[in-house]
Amino acid sequence: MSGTAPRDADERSVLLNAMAEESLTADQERRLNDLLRTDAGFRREYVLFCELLAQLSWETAAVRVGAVAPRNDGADLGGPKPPTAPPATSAHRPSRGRIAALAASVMAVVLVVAWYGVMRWEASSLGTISGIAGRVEVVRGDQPAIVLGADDIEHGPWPLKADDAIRTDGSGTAMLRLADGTEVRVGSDAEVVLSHRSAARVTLWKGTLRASVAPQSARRPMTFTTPHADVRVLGTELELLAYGTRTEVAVTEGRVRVVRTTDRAEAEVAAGEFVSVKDSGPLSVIHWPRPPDVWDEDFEELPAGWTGRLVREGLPQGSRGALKGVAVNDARGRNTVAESPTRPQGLFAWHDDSVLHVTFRVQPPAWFHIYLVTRTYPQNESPFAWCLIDPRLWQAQPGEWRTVHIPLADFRPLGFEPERPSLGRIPIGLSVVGPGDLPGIEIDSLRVDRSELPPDSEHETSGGNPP
Amino acid sequence: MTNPDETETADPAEEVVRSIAQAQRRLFAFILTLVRRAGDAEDILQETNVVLWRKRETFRPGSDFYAWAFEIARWQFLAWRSRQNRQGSPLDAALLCEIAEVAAVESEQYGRREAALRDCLQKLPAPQRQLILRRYQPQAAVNSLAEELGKSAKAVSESLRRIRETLRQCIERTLATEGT
Repeated sequence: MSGTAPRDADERSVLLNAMAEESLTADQERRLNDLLRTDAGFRREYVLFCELLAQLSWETAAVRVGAVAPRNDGADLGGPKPPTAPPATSAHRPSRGRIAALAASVMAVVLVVAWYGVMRWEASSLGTISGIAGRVEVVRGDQPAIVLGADDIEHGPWPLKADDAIRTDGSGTAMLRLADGTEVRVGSDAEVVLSHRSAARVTLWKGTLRASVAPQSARRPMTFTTPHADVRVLGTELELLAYGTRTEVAVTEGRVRVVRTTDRAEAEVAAGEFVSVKDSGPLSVIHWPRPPDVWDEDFEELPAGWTGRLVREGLPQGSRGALKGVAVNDARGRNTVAESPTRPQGLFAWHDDSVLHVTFRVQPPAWFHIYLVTRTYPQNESPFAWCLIDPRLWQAQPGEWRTVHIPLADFRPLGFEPERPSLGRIPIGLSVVGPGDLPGIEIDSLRVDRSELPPDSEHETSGGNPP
Repeated sequence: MTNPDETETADPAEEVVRSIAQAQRRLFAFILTLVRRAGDAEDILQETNVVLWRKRETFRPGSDFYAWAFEIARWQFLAWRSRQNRQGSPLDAALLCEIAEVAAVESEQYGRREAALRDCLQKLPAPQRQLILRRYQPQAAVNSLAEELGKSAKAVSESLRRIRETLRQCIERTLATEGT
């Protein structure tokens, strides 16, 4: 406090006292919270102030409840006599006596309790939740679950302790960052428990996860456990699913060893390979072709198999061609569509940090959606569609070319998740769809890569210049 | 070597319960830093007491009781906040963690500051002491006090602010004199 300018000290005092009287305005509350976030000295001041309020509450409570209240030292307060009760207009509830009563009842219970056991209170920090979408529950021991949202980690990650369980619902996902730098993205409708005995262990009770594992000690590899298998990892990128009676493991980088729980049968799974583990039967490793991380279409010429027509007028500077959507009747009705052909081997690899860059224009401004059709690793599963619906993209000025940068993480599953979830999210087709009477949606270029998003981009846009 | 007399008297469960009872003030102060409203802090304290009692077997004798109790209190606060659909606290979870850590550290000096507060209350002029203690009577609020005293709510608020500031500085001085 000694280094605090008087004006700042006044402001802080006003804020803290407004808090004490529960009369903070919205602006004051924002300011108070900003100070708490940015100023460690103020955090201490705040804590001591709250402590002072608590002590003042207890001092007056002690005067009222007298001998019932538990006291630390039994000192005579010698304070003022309690006044007559004022009119009942306060937000404070007349419940402080309950605290003393409860403490007294707890003391009484001990007289009939004669047993005691010792268990270790484990409190080592294991990692953090660094990203949340939707709703995520954290369960610690037998305590009630707490619910976290994205705003809870806006200013810093949420610390996890050994044996914490992380649960996502149908719309939630969570990114976990372990102490060694390993990243684990927990899919929706999943339950994961982090633990650490001799080595880190991630237990997937149900659902899916994708992990990028930091290099591990060869003697103590990190282990992913499901109800059906252990997956020992030395440092790699993998996906894991636990669902019903099976576990699936797919490796995108490195190599893992899968050990089946029932019979300890083992299989090595390398990058570009996939294995499905059931309680019995062979552990068959399936190779799946890994598509490239980068995908480019510049529409200088009309690529084979695309729906749309090539235009060469009114292009952005330096461009020699663009794809213009054409009206078609399809399962969605009559729409204007610019669409890639379906490539079963995959257009590109979908990573957590993949970004789609699109340079386009729409005349006149109108709605449009971008779809990604994906397949899973097992070839016999049905394709699944993801959709980006973002009204900010529709607000182009007529004739204006724009470039937008869209994290693939912003795409949402279209409709219900498949009844039989399976690992893999390989984009095999992309389409841009607008209303059937839309005179013109033109795409000058499409690119997917793992580049950083431009600073301050809200998917954001940089205007393309008409020639 | 175990002293038979100690074995007879030092029932670990009783020890935990005594600790719970003695921790009430510090727990209340700790929870108040998280929730900011005294009424809510009282509710969470009661839930915390129930859990502390239920989980008494998980406390390892000889380890830091307050670290254990604060962790449970923090969790009870978060669970309460979840039930309130996160409307119960204006702070995000990461900041709450930081504040909880500061509160746990500062709580070690709770007893000294509490003793200093009692002395400082005695040093206040009587009207100020009466006002600040009346403010913390059940159902007391600035508006009702202002009405009673024939002053504006703003004037009473400002008086209370100055009194708290006086107390805060007095506590700091007292602890500094003691040689923290």
